[in-house]
Amino acid sequence: MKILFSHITRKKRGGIATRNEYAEADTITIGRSTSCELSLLDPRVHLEHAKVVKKLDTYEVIAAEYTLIEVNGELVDKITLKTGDTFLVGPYKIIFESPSSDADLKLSIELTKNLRNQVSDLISRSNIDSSNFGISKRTWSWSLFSIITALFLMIPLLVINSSKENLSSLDPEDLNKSSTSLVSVWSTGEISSPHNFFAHDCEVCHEKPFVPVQNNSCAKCHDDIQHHADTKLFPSASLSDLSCQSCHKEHQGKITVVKNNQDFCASCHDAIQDEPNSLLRNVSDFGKNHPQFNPTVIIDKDKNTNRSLSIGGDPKPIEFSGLLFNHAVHLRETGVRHPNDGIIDLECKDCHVSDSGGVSMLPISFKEHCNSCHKLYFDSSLPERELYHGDTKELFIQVENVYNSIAFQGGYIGKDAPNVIRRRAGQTLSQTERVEAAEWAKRKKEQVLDGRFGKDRCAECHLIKNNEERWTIQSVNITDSWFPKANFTHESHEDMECISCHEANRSEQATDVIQPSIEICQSCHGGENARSKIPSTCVTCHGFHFEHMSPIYPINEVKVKETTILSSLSEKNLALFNKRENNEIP
Amino acid sequence: MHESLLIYKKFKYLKLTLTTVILCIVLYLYHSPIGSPNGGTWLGYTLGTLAALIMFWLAWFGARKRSYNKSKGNLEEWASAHVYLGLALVVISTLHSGFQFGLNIHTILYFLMMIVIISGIIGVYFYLKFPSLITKNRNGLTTEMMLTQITEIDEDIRELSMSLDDFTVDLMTKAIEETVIGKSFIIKLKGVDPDCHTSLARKHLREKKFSGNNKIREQLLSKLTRKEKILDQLRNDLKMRSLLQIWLYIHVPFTFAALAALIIHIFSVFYYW
Amino acid sequence: MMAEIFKVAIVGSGPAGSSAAARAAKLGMSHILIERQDHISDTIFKYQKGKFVMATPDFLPLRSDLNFQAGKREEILDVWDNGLEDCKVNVKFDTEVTSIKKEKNFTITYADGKTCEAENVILSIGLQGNINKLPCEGAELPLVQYQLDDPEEYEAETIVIIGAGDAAIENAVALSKQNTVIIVNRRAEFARAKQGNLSLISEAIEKGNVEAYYEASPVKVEKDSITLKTADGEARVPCNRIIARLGASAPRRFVESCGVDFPDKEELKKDPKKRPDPRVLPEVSAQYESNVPGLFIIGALGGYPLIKQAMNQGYEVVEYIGGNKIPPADEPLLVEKFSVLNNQNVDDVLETIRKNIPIFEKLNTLLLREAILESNVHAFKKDDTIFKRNDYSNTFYTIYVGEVGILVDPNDPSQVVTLNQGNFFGEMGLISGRRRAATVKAISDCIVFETPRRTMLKLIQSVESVKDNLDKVSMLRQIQTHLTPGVDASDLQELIETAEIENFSAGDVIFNQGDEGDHMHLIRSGSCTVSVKVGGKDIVLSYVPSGNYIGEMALLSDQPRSATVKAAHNTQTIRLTGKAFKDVLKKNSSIKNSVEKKFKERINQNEKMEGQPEAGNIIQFLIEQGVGEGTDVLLIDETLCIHCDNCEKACAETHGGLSRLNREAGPSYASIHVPTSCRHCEHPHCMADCPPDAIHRAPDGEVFIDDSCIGCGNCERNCPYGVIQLAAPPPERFNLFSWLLFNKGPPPGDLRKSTDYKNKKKKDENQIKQAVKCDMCKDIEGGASCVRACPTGAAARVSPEEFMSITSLTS
Repeated sequence: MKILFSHITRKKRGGIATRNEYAEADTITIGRSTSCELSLLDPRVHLEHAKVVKKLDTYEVIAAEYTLIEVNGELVDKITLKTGDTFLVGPYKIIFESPSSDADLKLSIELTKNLRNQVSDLISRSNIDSSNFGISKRTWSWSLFSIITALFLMIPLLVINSSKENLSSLDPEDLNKSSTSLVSVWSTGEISSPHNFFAHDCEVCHEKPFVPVQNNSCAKCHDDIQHHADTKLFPSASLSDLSCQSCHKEHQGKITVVKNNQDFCASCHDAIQDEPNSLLRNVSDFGKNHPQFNPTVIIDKDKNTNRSLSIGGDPKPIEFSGLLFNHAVHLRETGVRHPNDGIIDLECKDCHVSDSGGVSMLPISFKEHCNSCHKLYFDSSLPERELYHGDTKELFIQVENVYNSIAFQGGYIGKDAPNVIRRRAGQTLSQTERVEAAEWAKRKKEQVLDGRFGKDRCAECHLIKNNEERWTIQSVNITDSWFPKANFTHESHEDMECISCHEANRSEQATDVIQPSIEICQSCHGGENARSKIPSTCVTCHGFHFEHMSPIYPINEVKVKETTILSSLSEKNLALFNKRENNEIP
Repeated sequence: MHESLLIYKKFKYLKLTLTTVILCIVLYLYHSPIGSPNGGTWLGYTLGTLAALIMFWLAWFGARKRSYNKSKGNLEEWASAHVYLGLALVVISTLHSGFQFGLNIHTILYFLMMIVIISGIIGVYFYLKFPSLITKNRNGLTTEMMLTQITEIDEDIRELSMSLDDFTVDLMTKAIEETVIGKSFIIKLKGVDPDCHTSLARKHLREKKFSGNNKIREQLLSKLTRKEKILDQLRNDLKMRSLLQIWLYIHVPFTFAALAALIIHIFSVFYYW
Repeated sequence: MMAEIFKVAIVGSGPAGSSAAARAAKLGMSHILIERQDHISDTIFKYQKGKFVMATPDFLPLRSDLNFQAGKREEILDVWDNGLEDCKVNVKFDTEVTSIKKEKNFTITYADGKTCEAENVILSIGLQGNINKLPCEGAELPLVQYQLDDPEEYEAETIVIIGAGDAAIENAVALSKQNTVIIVNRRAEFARAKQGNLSLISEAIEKGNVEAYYEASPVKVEKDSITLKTADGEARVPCNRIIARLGASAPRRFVESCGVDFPDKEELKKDPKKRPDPRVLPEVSAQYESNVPGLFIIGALGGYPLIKQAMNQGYEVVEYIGGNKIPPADEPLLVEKFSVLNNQNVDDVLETIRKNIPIFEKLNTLLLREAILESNVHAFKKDDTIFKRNDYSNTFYTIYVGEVGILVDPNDPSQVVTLNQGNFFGEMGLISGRRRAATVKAISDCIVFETPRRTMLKLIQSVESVKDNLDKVSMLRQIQTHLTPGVDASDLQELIETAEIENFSAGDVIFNQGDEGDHMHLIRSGSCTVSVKVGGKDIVLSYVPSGNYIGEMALLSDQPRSATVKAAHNTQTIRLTGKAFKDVLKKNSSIKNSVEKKFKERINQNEKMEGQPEAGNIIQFLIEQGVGEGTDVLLIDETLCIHCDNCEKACAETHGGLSRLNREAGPSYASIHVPTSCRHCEHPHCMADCPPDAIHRAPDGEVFIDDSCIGCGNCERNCPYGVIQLAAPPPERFNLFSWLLFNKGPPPGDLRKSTDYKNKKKKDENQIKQAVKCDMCKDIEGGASCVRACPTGAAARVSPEEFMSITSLTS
């Protein structure tokens, strides 16, 4: 059988080219193999795909094992076809054409689907664009932008708005905690603990948006704040153009809003002497540049005026308390004799007891601290009877009353007393006896009060004034606060020996001011930046806003107490002050 | 002439940046504000304003880069300044914060900004590293040339395999028609495709018992090996070119985020002044 | 049968012929206008649709009975058609003239064998010649066309293109964008095409955009198909259109058959193998009369390719035939040009020029008039600067009256070479294509003619004497400038007499390593590479640009050549004999010293370069990429390039949305990449054939195309580096931020990719395309935007002189 294979190549919408091939065979094998009669070089065709056997007028197409052919869209493994019919082997369309003159069988073969293998195919299934990651930077950017804006701008603003609306009807306590925490993302830091209780309510301080916190907001609570200095005397030191905020920084952590940088004080005080009206001395650092302590002492025992004098300066500060006291004797190492208990050791704390806050010492009281040793007996025949302590007038009356009542009652046991006095108590007296008894009482009274006894006994501790009529006791003025402008707590120093600061064991005079000098403090305390000592800043000892200073903002009018100012003047400054008072300085 | 943007004009912008940074540090050490240093002191406001201006300026780079005919001067100069001033921001903004961090928008801004800066540093590193590696890897070929070579080899593979058994032909057809470059995001960045049909085909062909013509098999193997090599080259090229781009997908969006945060930061700080 | 005897027969109805016919009709002269086609002015008729036709030169007044103004092709043709009708011109269409014989009168024979007689013949047949027709049945069917106006005119058609030349390829590629294109090549490959077109068509075929039939030829054309004979058998290809680009036969043979001589006739006789140069035109008199009396040649064939000139010629020649010897149309222009010469008579001035200026001596009146017309006449005062050293101008100056001085030494203004009346200067810039080598000043009040480069090149090409004169004088000058400064011309007599100008093409060896060194070369134009063979490999040692000499080493050391010198591209040198040169050196010790100094420098340089062959390879590579003939080339350092394409985008953005550079394309070597971008060649290939003279060199050296571009595409084809494209004007600009932030509008640098643009383009189909190329951003402050837009500093522009710095940087 002679077969004509007519290979058709259809150009793209163009012409049709045909290539003819002849073969002789009885059975036509079709496949990829070159040994096939019809060899179709395409990977989609099996090595041996099908064979065609002629059967009279028809042709039987039989697919090889595991392969199929396609006829009218159906896959079959065997089919009988006739002239004009078409079947598909892989991508090839094969048509049984009517036989021509030179062949018994003519098959037109046409490739219907080209193999896909072009650079463009490779590119189209690949992704070789280095900047294509499936999402545009723009989308991704706007998403992030929106998320941030929504979370941190829109939501807080909404919360602020709604809380404003509800504020009138709601107690701040009821404010929704979770909603305020949404606003807290705007907070620049933790609120100090004193203010923490209203931390959830921004509007307490930030009253108006875009307006800095006003002093009024602070004054809602802190209404009695004082000036630091008299702005009339020190206009240049006026701090009135500063707001509370300029010193008191909020949102900087739990601890405190009070600032203690020494530079802050030093910025004025390191050249405070040069201020026109200044009576103060320069200070910049406790460890390096701080004046000697000037305890405020009473300088005039009559007028009770006091002034501060520098420790170790000249004149030395002397205290006119009106008392006589020898600390050294009381603190003798060998002890002191107690009238009842024999030899005892006295300690500072036996007399000096700090107050409950530990800031200052409680006043010494005769009854509590002196009386157990220093009994005020005045008549050996009257054991257990002590002189009244406190007021001499009362004392005189007491003594007079004591003897008068003895005179009328009798029972006195003194040997030198007349019998009438020594009589058994309860006996009524005759007129003469009464006179005698009254005279005795009078004599006795005068004996106690005018004689050496009274004077001597009181003068052991008190300064005695000899008036024309009768001696009196100098009034006692014990300094309340040695350093009125500084704070000191004994409590935090309680582990220390008293005498390590106060040299009481060497003080034999009551006039001694046994306050420590600055060097003693400096042995442990340095300035703010001290490294080997305890760093101490100005506010460790000194305060800023004090009641005895004028108000920093005229919230409450507080009168300037002249005496207070006076009390804080040093000698040199006192002179200056006086001059000014006398209009010697303009 | 050809100098990298880091050494542009003898480190002009490095010097500028160092001067600025040192000045800021000195001022920071010098100034002793009431309370701890923070954004609210005079220095804080100064540093904050400076940092904000720098941030807006840095973000403007995206526009400057594309305004080709309107702006004078050299983009390299801008890029150089962009890199160095961006780095300066690390110091300036940290000083501005006074080392105070917390759970708030201000710290969020700081971290967004740091993400932008760190991605920028990575970008600069990529920019310095990859160009010469790309050239080396390409070995004189362009992407298109490599693709063409691959299709040429494919053609050869197809022709060679034609006389082989159906299974092998299927394998080769897969290698030809289903080999993909840059299949996924990850594969693109890794530069390696573990399921590359070409590699699979080669593995199968080598390991499988082969009944056909051994000479053809050897030829096929060598073609496949060659194709794999070009694919590797191409994937490596794509990987490096992608890396040159990918960092921008962090850098740019986070710049937007940081700008949003910056605006909110400024707004909130002055809202609750 | 005796035909009518016309006073004048005009062959060809182009602008020249039509204008002549109109004049003859107006004068009542018996005439006939014979046209091969069924319409007038076939060349213009075949311009692409809607093409804007320029009316250059602007200054020239039109002198014709037909109107002509710049405008669209259709409008102009309409005006002429109507004009011819109004004048009642006797036109004979569809008539091809096969011969013109002169006896007493001219006998004109038509293709159909009929004849006519005329006393005078005006040949205005242009240069197009006869287009070759399809050599098969059906070649005249309407679906067959022989040229293509506008490829974008056709859409979704099946178009068969027959031919394998450049025109066929260009048509095929252009049409394939929106049509099914089949190209039929008689051979197995596209051998005749230019390299650029070859790669275009190969790519198109590979991509499947164009289907190719190789070794196929047309057998039969039917009304909707063509049958081809192919290797696979005959194939019938149904198609909508057939475009046959089978070339044309030049009109020269026909013109010669009329008895007209071409100037290179003798030359061709000597060397029968040489093909005639199509640029050579027949010689004509001032009245456009050829060597055959009564046979006039006008229009493009007569050397006047511009429409306006041709129309004027037509008018003038008919007036002349009619006995009226009118002065040419340019007479008033010349009068104006010469106004600085105290209104002397034009003819007198021209005569004086010819007498006093040797280089113009042999010019015929026509050429001289044209040359002067295109020149500027300058009157310089004493001490005026005419041009400065390092200017990038390339005009040519001749001294009509007065003296000028050339300041030879830039450091010593006292060294002045004086030139007198009749001399010329500025030729070095013309020859080398480089910057002016010296400043020129007027020494006395003087009048000089400044002739444009194009005009001069035309003169050099067409008039032997101009070339000879120029070569001789310029040779002396170049030797004096570059080799022997300060030496008097008389001392160089022998050197000059034995010197020769030699031409080398790219890659030609000027001399070989080991050759005997009996001569040296001064590079006049172009540049060379010096290389040595090390281990069988060429290692480039240096690049020598024009203005330098080579080969002195062997001369001085009396040893064989130590290196091979090759031309980097088209190079012209002055070959100097060794003996004469040595004699000059003997007499001038200072020159000897400077030559010896250079000699030592070169030895050092060579030793250094031999140590780093990589640097030499880079030079070699750059030269292969045409950088050698460039003056300013964009290079990309691949160690810095991050492939961001910002350079391309910047270029597109500064130039209306179309990038003039392609970063990825172009070769690389040792991390230096030469992208596809203009090299601003010394002798720009693009400038070679620009009909409206739209390509210029700016003072700073930028080669640019101005708005007078007519979109002919010559420059695009002539550029060997493929850096010129034809493009329609750009669409409007969009706001950057609308894209940057919201993706609205096209991305910057990608204008033409945007759909907005594509839609707009569809609407403006009639827009004229213009050639665009890199102009180095000459109008933009700050320099080339590609370099400025590079964020990493990878892009840089370099001149060839800077090669060494690049190579040292990369090594």
